Amino acid sequence: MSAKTYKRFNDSEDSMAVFQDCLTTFNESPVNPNKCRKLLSKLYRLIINSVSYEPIFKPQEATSLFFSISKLFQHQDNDSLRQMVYLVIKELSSMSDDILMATASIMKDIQSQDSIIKPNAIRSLVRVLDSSTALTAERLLKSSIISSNNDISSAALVSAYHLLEISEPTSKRLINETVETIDSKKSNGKLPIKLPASDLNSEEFEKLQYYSAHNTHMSQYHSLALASSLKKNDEMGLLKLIKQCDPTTVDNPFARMEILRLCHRLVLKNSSKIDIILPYLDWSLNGSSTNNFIVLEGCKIIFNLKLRDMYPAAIDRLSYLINDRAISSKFAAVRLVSDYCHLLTPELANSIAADIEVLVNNENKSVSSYAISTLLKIGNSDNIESLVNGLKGSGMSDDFKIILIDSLAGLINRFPKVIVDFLLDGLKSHEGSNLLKNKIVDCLSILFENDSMNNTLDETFKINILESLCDFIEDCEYTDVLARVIYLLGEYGSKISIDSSVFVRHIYNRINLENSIIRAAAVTALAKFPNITEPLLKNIAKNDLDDEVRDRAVICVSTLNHQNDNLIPSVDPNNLIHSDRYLRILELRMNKYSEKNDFSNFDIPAEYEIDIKEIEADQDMKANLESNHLDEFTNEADESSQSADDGNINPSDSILEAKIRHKYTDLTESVLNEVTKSKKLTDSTSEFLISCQRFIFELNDNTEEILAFKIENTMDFPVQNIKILDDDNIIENIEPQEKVELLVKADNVVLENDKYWSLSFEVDDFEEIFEFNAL
Amino acid sequence: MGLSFSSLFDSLFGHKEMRILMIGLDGAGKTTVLYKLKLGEVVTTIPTIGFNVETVEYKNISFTVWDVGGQTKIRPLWRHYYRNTQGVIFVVDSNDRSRISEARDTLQNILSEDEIRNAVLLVFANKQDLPDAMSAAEITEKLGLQSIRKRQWFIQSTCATTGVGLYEGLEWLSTTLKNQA
Repeated sequence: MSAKTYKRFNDSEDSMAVFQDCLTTFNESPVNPNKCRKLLSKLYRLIINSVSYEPIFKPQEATSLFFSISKLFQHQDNDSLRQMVYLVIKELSSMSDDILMATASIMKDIQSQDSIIKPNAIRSLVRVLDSSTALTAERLLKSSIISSNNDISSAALVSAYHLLEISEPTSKRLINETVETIDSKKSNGKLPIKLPASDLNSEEFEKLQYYSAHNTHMSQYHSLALASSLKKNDEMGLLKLIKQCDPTTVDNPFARMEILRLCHRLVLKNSSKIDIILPYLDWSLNGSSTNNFIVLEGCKIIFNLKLRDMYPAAIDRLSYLINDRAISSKFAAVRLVSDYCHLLTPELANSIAADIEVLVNNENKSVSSYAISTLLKIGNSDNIESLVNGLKGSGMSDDFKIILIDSLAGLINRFPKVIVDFLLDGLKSHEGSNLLKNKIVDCLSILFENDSMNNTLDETFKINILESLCDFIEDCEYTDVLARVIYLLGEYGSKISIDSSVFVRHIYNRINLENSIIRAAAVTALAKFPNITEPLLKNIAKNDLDDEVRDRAVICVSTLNHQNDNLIPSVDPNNLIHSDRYLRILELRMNKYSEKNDFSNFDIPAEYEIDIKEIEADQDMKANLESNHLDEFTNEADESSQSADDGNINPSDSILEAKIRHKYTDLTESVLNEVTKSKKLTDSTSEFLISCQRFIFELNDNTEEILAFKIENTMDFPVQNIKILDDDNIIENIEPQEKVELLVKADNVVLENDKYWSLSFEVDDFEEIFEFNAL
Repeated sequence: MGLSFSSLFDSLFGHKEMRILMIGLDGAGKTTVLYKLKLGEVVTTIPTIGFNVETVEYKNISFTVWDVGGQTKIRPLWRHYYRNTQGVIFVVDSNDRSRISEARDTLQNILSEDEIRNAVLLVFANKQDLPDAMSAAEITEKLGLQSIRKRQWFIQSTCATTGVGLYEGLEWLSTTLKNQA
């Protein structure tokens, strides 16, 4: 068929017509292979072209299709029909019921000698298996993985990888074969690379040329990916794997990339292993024949691990990529710079900025938007105003506006006027997602917050902004954005020296018109203008339909009556960290209160300070830990964190001590006598990582011993009702990768001569026991 | 030459295709029967998850035999393969006295299916080589075959591993189906 006579397949072909056709044709006996193959292609096209999120066929329809197609297995000798059958089965497997029905037939094909349909069969097999049938596939997958045919071996490796989700134990049995493949697929030692000159025209040589041109060594990548996920909890195994697959000797670029990533993950987990990645990073930047994406990955890792010595080399390579012809390279490079430019020294940033400035006028909108955003972040450009003005009406997508606004947030205090203009435009425009509008409000909050501390803005400018916001709330569809803007109006409108009744009027309008969430926000905002709004609030406190709104109004009115502004700590909802901390304080405080069993007086201010200290100590420690990590990477000594380590009191111990005292109130008077070092009780591959510290307190010659357990759930599903030994303390739930602390009185547990302790937990209401070494 | 003659011969004098569904409880020996017929040898089998389909030539008739797994979870799916079936082979493990009533119930259920009301029934009383095997007569009685009305049926004692009785069964199928047509 020539291009002229080619007729486009009718897209609007009715799926039901194809469905009916399939049912009748496939059930014919004997089957007509050519007709069936064409019908299957139509069906396949329908399925993969369906754009809606709903599957194109209902389960019942898909099931009858599946069973009709299964009848085509009776036709033995037509590879192209069988390949189509497999393609369609793969697609139908997610929609149809009882797909296990094809298992035996697929397995038979895998055992056949036919290398054409074998890979298709292997890839389909894994779609029809479930956890109960997976084991039967083990032997077949094993023999396919070690097949000398790369297509078969790749198919089996990829299938084994997918099988991880269905039946991990089955996949794990394939590890030896997988590792074997990595070696056997290296090109050296496979085919003779040099042939005698006399053979240059021979058929053999052509075959070799074909082979080397078409062999992508993809199975190297597949086996590496599978091996690394099978060994993901086994650090020694991974190190061995990396040694085996030095990226400078494997042939497939994806495999090289995977090794880089693998090293990266390892180093992130265990920073002492930094040595394994350094030579590869050098190689990734300087290797002559490496692909661009490997260079990019190398740069990304360098920035991520904060290897400052290598920044200049990375920036140098990135500037090459920015000037690369391919638009994708430009894009990836500029995005990388944008993500990490905060790490760069001014000199480096300037050197790359010169390259990026060229991209501002690139015709590709994505590249140019990123370029502008990056330049804004680098922030030393003299022409910020013209950059921002250039952004107006440039028709960017929301995603890019969000990226831009993130960079503008850092600059808003330096160039308020031009940026606020841009932001207000974005806010008032009828387009734009909820996230975008929220980001804009974030940005404005930063501006106002800074102003309330430093008083940098002039009054008329602020009034202008607030008036624009007043206009905005008249016509805003997002409840949360609206509530936040009302907060801003209340908080900062009340501080304006001129007559603020205009703000009150706008806020009060919302009370009459909007839903209860906004009414509640408006009540709080109105309370900032006590002179004007007291009668209004009293009225709301009596008449509003919603509990929350009335409650807030009541609290506001009573606060006004007491003339004590400090009764309710002011909490800024725009400051997320702050409000998060506030919630934690509140939780701590409520816990203490309910544990006391004395419900007479919930005294907020008295304990406020203590909690803040406790939480700040906790945060400081986390920050210290992080900076310690960084130091290990960069080998730079930071004195402040060093001294914290050398000091006698470990901050994490004192936090634990505080928690213990908080929990066991009878220890309040006691003296902490001894704290043991944290000891690991499990090995790193077990389901839970448990470590334990002993805290020994002394009170009136009695000693009391508390065991502080740290438990991490390393499994990929949550567990419930966790308790250690026979203690009464139960943790309700531990999410995957979550760490929890559990404090247990040593008296409550039997400790004599036990070699193992046990932890009991529930998964889906089944109780299970996990044993670990005793302290 | 001989080949083209025979194909010409076939088209003139009734080379026939027949669709046979072979079912029965799990472990009755269906897959072994199928491959003994197809390849003439005993293959190692694993419980069939799904089905095997093979064409077996016998006396100018090509039987397309569908051997569908007998595990409990697969039995409800047999119905997908009823359509156009001319003959049902029901394989029984003659040695398994404990499950013979389960086999009877299963068989009675299938026989009431509308889609195969015209299909003839062949019962293989398999595993006759085992010492404690029930005889064909005993199985006839236990399966309640005498009470079958409006359907031609036949019971054949077989041993799939040696092949004894298998072709006798096919012979009955071919004559019965030819007479029907």
